[in-house]
Amino acid sequence: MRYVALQITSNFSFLRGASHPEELIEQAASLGYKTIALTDRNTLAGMVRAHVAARKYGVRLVVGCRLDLLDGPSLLAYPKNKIGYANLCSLLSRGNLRAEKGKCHLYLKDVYAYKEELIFVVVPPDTLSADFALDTVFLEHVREYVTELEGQLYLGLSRNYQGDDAKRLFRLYHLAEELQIPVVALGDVYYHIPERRALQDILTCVREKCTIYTAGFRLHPNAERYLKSQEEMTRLFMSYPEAVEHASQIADMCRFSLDELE
Amino acid sequence: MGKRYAVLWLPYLLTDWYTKHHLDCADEPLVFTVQLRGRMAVSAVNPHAEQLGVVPQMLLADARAAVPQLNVLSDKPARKDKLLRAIGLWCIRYTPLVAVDTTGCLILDITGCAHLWGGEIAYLQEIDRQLCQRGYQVRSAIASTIGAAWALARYGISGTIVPEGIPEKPLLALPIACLRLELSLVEKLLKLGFRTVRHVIGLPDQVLKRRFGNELVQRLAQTMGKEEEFIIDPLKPVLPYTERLPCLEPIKTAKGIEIAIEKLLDKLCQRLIGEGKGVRKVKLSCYRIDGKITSIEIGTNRASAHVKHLLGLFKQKIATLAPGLGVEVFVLEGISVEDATPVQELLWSGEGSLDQEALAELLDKFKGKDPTCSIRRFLPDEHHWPERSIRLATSLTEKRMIAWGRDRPRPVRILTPPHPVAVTAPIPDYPPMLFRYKGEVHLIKKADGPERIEREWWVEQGEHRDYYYVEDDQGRRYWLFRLGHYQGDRSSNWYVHGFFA
Repeated sequence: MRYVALQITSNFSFLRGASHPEELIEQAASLGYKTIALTDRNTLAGMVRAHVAARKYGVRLVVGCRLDLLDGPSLLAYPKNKIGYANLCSLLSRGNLRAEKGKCHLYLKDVYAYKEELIFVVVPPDTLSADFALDTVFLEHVREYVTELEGQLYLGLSRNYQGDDAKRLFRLYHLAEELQIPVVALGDVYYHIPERRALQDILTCVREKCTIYTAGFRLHPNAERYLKSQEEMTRLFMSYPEAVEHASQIADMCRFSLDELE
Repeated sequence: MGKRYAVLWLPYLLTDWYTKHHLDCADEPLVFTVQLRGRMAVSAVNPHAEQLGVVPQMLLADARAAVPQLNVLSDKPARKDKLLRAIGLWCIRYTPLVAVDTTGCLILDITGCAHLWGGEIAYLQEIDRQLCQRGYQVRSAIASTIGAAWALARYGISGTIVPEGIPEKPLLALPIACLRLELSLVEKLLKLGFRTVRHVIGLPDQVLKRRFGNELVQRLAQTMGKEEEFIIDPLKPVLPYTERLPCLEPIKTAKGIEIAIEKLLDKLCQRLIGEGKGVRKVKLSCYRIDGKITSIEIGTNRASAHVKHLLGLFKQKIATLAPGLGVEVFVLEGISVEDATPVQELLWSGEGSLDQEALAELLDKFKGKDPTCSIRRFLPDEHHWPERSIRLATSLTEKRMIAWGRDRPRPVRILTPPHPVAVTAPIPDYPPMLFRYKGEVHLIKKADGPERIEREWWVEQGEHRDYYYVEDDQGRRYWLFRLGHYQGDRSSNWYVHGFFA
């Protein structure tokens, strides 16, 4: 089983991702990825360019989207087929119509209304509380997701060299065991190579309306949000091999391609 | 005897000041520029530039087009005012009443001063000469009113002295702008053909008032001496915070010195309290009868004008004074004086402001006892890089801008710089199994990490650090890091950077 990168933010997530979809796909191809997903924030706008690039480099693109919700933790959504894709598009349209241009207001109930034929992954929190426990609000929401999105839900695990990665993964893994949902390894990619960190920091400054000298903790502490190789990701998730397996399992389930729309 | 005023105008103040320090620029056209509504405009010119047709208010682009070899410097907002103030303070040697007016001239009330220099002509020449020697070109005039002197300095012949009693005559031919009017009013008058003072002087006040408002009438009356005008805001020289105590008999006992210090502190603190200030550093110099000077210095953590506390600090140090055969003059000097923050005392709570003052005084005593002891206060700063995540506080009262971070473990003591250690560690990014620090081997029992912290690329370049929190077999906890990625061909550099509680 080979790892599939399921959480990739391109520059179609405005002022967040620092690489074009083409660059990400090209880098993925050169690292030996056969399948890759693109998950921009509340948008599918980068999908066409990614699709064209994926066809060019012989990589299969998994269509996806990161749903940033106003009343719950973010979810990654992947359509399994054309019906799922239609649902995802309707969901995003509903959010877009509710807000001014460029924004998308989505609520939990919208997700539950359009959940058919979609696979969801809960994006894990970045930090643990002072006594190394998961945030109670996060726990409540995950419990709600489990009942509402039964059988379609995975819990994401990600490692970004934050110091408490091992503890966080342990907590999340036990939560998943308790709730009987599968875990899945995520990369949380914002740029295709580590050298793009400087650009990503500058984008953060533009977004937060500050200068690089005053940005402080709004920047990421390190350059680990690049597209890592499959071997490296497998090594990072050595203690949780099923998380890597589930990543390719999701990719296998979500076979929808933009070619079907013709 | 009526009032007499001198007005000094330094037309090339900024450029003169600059050429004084950069002699090589003396022979080339020079301008200062400021940002004016998004465009660069000329704010000051030197005589060379003026001859070539560059004038203040001109756009820099236009000036450059006219004079390609123009030397352009950028101006700072308060620089001109500061310079003028400094020159004004220097002028206090000629008269105690000097003021800076809003148009950038110096006004000197010279009533009863000029005869000390041998008359008004010699007086004005002396000022001109002294300023010239210091590199400043000056245009000056003396008259019985501020307005007349101003008009002649700005628009008349430099060095004009209008004798008492006949103010009008030399002014008649001067342009209307010499009356210190607003620009819009000057434009209006010019449009109507009132070009010189002569044109308005004969007209009845009521007519002028109805047509041009009160300003013109008032200025005219002030200039002609019909309405009195005084210097409103004279410059005051800064008095040093120094007190002297001469003694009849030389003093050499500790008790005697103590009494002297108390007397001096009483006087100094009274003045400080009156001005709402306090001292951070005080120096006591003792002039001995054998001609030598011996001194002691104390410092405080916050501006203080508290006699008892300052005396306590001096008492700790009196023993280090060597009075020799005796001290005849004591001089107490407040070297660093700051605004004292007035503290609001709480009625009911025992904690708060009073305690903070007590704490500051306690710290002063520690520092006084042992000058080598370092008491520092640190505040959190918004940086991921550990060395920059804390900064030294400048004072006890400084408030922190952000909360101390609790989401990542940070040691209570940090080593600067990090101390290199030898380790045995599995590759590529697992915590070490043991490390050797100061000759002692520590076996690592528990570890967490890595926390990867990248350099702040806008500050410095270099390798990132992978931090591990480790606990050795003795239960002691350390903060270790490896510099950079693991690389197969060379051994990695490991450091210990801090200790946890």
